[in-house]
Amino acid sequence: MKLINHIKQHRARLDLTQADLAKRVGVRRQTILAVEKGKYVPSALLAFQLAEALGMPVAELFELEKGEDHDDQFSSP
Amino acid sequence: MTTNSVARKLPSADWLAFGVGVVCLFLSYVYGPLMLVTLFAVFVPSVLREVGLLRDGDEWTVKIMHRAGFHALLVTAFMIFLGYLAPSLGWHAPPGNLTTGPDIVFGGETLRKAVVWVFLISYLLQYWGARLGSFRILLGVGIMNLTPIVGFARMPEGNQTSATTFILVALGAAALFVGLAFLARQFPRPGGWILLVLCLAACTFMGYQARDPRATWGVLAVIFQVLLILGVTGVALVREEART
Repeated sequence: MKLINHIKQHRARLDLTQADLAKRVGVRRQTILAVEKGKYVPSALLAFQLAEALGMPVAELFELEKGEDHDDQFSSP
Repeated sequence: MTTNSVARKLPSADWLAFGVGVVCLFLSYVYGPLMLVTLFAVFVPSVLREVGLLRDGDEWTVKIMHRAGFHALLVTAFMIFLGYLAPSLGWHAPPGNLTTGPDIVFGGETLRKAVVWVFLISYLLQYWGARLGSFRILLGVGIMNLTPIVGFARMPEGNQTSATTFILVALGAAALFVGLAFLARQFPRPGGWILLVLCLAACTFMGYQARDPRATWGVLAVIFQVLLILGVTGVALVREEART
């Protein structure tokens, strides 16, 4: 199961660079890059800070990419 | 250019310190005591961060720094383990050398530098990513191969033939690593496989050289550095391209 994010799209919507978003949230630009590319799963705190900086709920910014195994495991009989 | 825009374009203090540390690591192959500057520049800020006196990192940079430290621990522990295994493997110090114990396999200097090398390479590959990180690491190693020329350029007359040969070899090695750097950047996946093949070929060739007990010590040190630089960057490139 993977965590996917829509940071890049919403950042573009607000015309923010990675550096701008990084400054708003108080992290390095490389950190934003790592999160956007899926190389780093942010902590809950950082996830909420990103959502607040982009003006949207966390659940719309991040979502779980469900795999087939997960669906089979939890599907009702 | 305004003062603010100049300040934004300059690297931060920790990156400047890091850069000084890396440059001194290169130059320490010519003048050993510069290694102290490297250790100071690279590790003192990390110690200050751990005790909470320096708060310039965010959660991701702290995480990759911890991971790089763990990698350094694993590799040097392996080297120490290999050193204790050395007598039963039939490895000995070069003739006339009274070294015993773990230093038989890797001279103390190699072991000390291994800590710094592994930490730097792991951190930089994680921070910049495999493609850009490999490019910069290989470029840096290429430049590092030029630093012994500084020492040999001061050779007294009568040794000019040896000096010329050494300088040509150093230039060749530098050109090879710089070429590999650009290959890794332009063609990451094939470049990664080429790095791995070169690593395997170099280690195999030097493994044969290591059968001579007089050569074991130095050869194993070179194998380690080849494995680290070519092998690790090669694996990082192949893995990242496989994921994308």
